Amino acid sequence: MPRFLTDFIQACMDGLLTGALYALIGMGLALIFGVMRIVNFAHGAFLMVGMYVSWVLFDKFQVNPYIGFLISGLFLFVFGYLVYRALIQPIRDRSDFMQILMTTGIALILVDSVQLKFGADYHQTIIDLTNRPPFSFGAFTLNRAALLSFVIAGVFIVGLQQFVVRSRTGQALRAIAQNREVAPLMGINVTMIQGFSFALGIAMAGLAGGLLLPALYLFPSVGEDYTLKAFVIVVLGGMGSIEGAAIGGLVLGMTESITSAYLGQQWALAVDFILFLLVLSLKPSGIFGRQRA
Amino acid sequence: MSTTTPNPANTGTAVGSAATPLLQVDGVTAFYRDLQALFGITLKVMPGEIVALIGANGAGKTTLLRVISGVKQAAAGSVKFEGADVSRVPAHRMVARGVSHVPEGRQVFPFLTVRENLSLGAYTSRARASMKQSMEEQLALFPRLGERMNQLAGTLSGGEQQMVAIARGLMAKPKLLLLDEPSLGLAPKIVDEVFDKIQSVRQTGITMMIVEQNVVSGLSIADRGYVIQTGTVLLEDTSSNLLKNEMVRAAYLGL
Repeated sequence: MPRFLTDFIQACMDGLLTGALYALIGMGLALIFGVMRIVNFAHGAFLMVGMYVSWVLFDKFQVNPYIGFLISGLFLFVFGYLVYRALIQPIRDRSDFMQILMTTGIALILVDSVQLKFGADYHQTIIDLTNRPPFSFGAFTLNRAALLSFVIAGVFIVGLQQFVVRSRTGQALRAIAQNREVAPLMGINVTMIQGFSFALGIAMAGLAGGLLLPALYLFPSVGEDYTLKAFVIVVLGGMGSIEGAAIGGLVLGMTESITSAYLGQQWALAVDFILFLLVLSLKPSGIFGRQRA
Repeated sequence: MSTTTPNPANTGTAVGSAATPLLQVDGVTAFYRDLQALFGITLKVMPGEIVALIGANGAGKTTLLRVISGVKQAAAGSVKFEGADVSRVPAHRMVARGVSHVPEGRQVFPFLTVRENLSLGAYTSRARASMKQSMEEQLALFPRLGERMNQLAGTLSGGEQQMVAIARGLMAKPKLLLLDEPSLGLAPKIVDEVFDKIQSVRQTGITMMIVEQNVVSGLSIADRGYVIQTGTVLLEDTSSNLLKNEMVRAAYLGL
């Protein structure tokens, strides 16, 4: 196989591995947007909290991050629900502007609180798996830690999608996304389902945070890029479509990886936003079909 | 139009009579911000009755339905359902109590299939238990929906969407069905079809309250009617009397 082809395939595979985590993050944001019509500008900050939870477990109790991420998810579910009840529910019918201010404010408070408690130092989480030589087959190699988080993220992506399509709560959630005025006439408790969806979306960010921990340096504002990326993913997939966000995440992961391979890593974020602007200006309903599910 | 239920014609004094009304609305007022929409509405619906609310656009008919189904709270007055005060009960709980509201403009879930729309109608645990059976009943009543079960509801014609909305409302196993403008935006031929279906629903013994701008159609399937004007009850009588009433004929039938 010619070199340029193996390089390209390698970049695509690396991109898919990262993309699965992006998908998880984007699906959480899409879920919240779909059910509440709120763009959660604190999404990356919640992800960062998930990383810190997993890091504390690792640092203080030697819990492997590939187990700790589950606790991050659970913690963020409860935390997300409390934030919803205290701060989001009172403003859910207010203007977009109010919602942007509120979620941005939550992000600032989370980042600064974590900085107060844990300091601004960088932390690295070194586990056995990250030091093992990469998994290789033929001309290709794959990072073992990234491969493991890809598999785990895949399980949660499929699980969430199936939950939304098949379960009774999932059905209620889609009903609210499509017609919030009529959903209560079906007997759906909109306030309760919205709280649950918000918590679930935040839990997805928490899980992704836990899974990202071994791959990244940890510091309080590590989540900032992820808020923007999650937003790009959701726009790529069509605002509010959960399946679209999953595909959008994979596309973004591959775009970044290919950009890094050919132009250098410093261009990755720039290309993200070029893609974002292209989609917004050429096909604002997202690259994948219908407006929302 | 023959009626299967007795017509309690002199409604004002029926409080002392043997049967309790299924729905009793007393002096209800409602506002949209500073704008008052209802100015003390009093009416009632007896079990098994079909009651029509007629009146011009903006008279407050839809607001009244919204207050009854709990979507909107009354500013004053009370709503009693099966004798219990439900004035402060939110919409999702009213469904469980047996009030099903089919809103104006159909409002199906456009990106869900007809089947999913119907099954959402049976969302409450009470209705869910007998979902399979209700689904069969609805398909017997609306055979055309059977062919469309796996189609997205948003792709159906207006008449078909109205059928989905009514069937969805019936899936909740209501004791009282509130129908808001079932003929709105439909071609005359389809309107007849929809009213035929409502007529069939009546055979099942479900009590109904129908809001209609189409006064003749509305009154022709109802036992009694209330004429609503600027948020108050202007007239109440049996449907046949209202259809003969000079004022109704002049104001709403252009005769």
